[in-house]
Amino acid sequence: MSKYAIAGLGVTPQGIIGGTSAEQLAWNAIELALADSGLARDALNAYIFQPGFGENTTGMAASRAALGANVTLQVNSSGANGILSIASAIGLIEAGTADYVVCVHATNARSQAVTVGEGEENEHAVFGLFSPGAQNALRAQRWFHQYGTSSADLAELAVALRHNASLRPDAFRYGAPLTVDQHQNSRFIVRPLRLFDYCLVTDGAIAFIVTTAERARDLRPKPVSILGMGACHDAGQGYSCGSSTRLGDANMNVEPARSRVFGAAGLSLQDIDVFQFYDAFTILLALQLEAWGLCGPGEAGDWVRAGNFRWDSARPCNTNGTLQSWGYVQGFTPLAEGIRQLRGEGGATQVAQARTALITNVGLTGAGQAQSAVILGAS
Amino acid sequence: MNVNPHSPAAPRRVIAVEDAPFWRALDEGVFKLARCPCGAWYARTQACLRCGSSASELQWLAASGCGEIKTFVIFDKPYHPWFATRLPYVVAVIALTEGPELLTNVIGMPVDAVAIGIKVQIVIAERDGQSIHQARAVAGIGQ
Repeated sequence: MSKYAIAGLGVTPQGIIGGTSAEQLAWNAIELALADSGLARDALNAYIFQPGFGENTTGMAASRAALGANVTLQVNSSGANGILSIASAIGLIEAGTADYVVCVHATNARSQAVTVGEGEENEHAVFGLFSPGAQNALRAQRWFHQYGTSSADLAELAVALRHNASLRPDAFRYGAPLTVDQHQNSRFIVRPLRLFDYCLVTDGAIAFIVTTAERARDLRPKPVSILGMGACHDAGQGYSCGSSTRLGDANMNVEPARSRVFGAAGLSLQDIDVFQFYDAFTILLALQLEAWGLCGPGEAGDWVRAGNFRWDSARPCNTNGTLQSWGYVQGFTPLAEGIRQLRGEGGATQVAQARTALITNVGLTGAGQAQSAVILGAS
Repeated sequence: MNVNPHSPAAPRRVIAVEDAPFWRALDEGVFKLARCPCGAWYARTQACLRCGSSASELQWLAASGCGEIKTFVIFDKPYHPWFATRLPYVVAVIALTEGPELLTNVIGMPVDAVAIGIKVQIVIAERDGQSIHQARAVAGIGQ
């Protein structure tokens, strides 16, 4: 039994919202999370947020969310922030600084027409390497070479993600399944990655409330327990970390995140009912399926082709299509879907008897590649 | 620097205090690599990512410039206006003989002929008034 729980979830519509600031979206998600939890606004006394693409949330939502906030904290590990926000929230509670911590991420990158990577001024720009997508394209090329895989293998992942999303009315790609041919005929963004190897750029926000398990029991929703967490950091894998080493590795090292998250939860891979991996790019998802041991190195395409990964398979993953087909709220997207599955709110893609969920986040930061993982449990 | 809006300037080199010796050597026509006392090699870095030594511990040595393509990507669309008239182009990770990896462009061959494993030689080129390193395939070797 964990000491901490998630006791409120707020998810705004995802897609092309327009005319709404990121701050307003953040506030909308917080209001939804408050309504879900049954907490009054003034109960919140810490606010954790992250920068994003498009406008950045800075503090207006914090001011409205927690007029009496003891702490506002900005975390900045990019895609790894969602799970690291939970760790930070637990830290604030342990330190005696807060009782109810709201974690939020909002983006309006779609209506701001952001092209991620455009005009970057880092050390790679002089050679024309722009965007996190390009770093992942370097990985994909290497993965093809090392294991004899191809773009058609990555297509399997995009198709399975879209399948899950196509059944979910809350997903940006609801009702729009994808075929391998459509993937293979989609335009290159940075060769060898194609349009449908990339995540969405959408407007939307997600907020959740972290508190102690004891406090969570008094709130409206069934609490989702935080069973274990783990993280790891690779200084040599950063997209822009002051060193040009190992940008194109075709393997992800998930230690010690893996041993720590399973150790803390007292669980093994076989005990996980549903997985939500960070899927900013198909190749990033393939490398994680392999690194976490769902399949062997180079086998991700075959594994998904065999029927795994879909929401109704023996190994349900990314049950709402996540970053590629549901909505791009970075690390908060897979977290929110993990929480929903454990609360039985997965709608058309609800996994039967989902009691445990493993969620991963991956962020490319100035300090290297950050990975984080959490196992959540139904109450 | 070119300030004509119709002829945009190339992105500038990002030179940190710690890797300035790398770029200074390149300006003098020498491709150097840094060796840490712990044995790790770097093309350019702000610290040793293996043992944590500061950049001042690194020794800058003239390098062979020999390596092979470890992986690469092809850009068909510009993320910066300077590249708009230079498409398509290749950005590759080169595994250098001394051990470190180097991000650079592969030049002197059609983009569709670029492949992992091709042996390359690092050459120094001018890009809009600044010296940068590029990789050129070594004829008759590799593939």
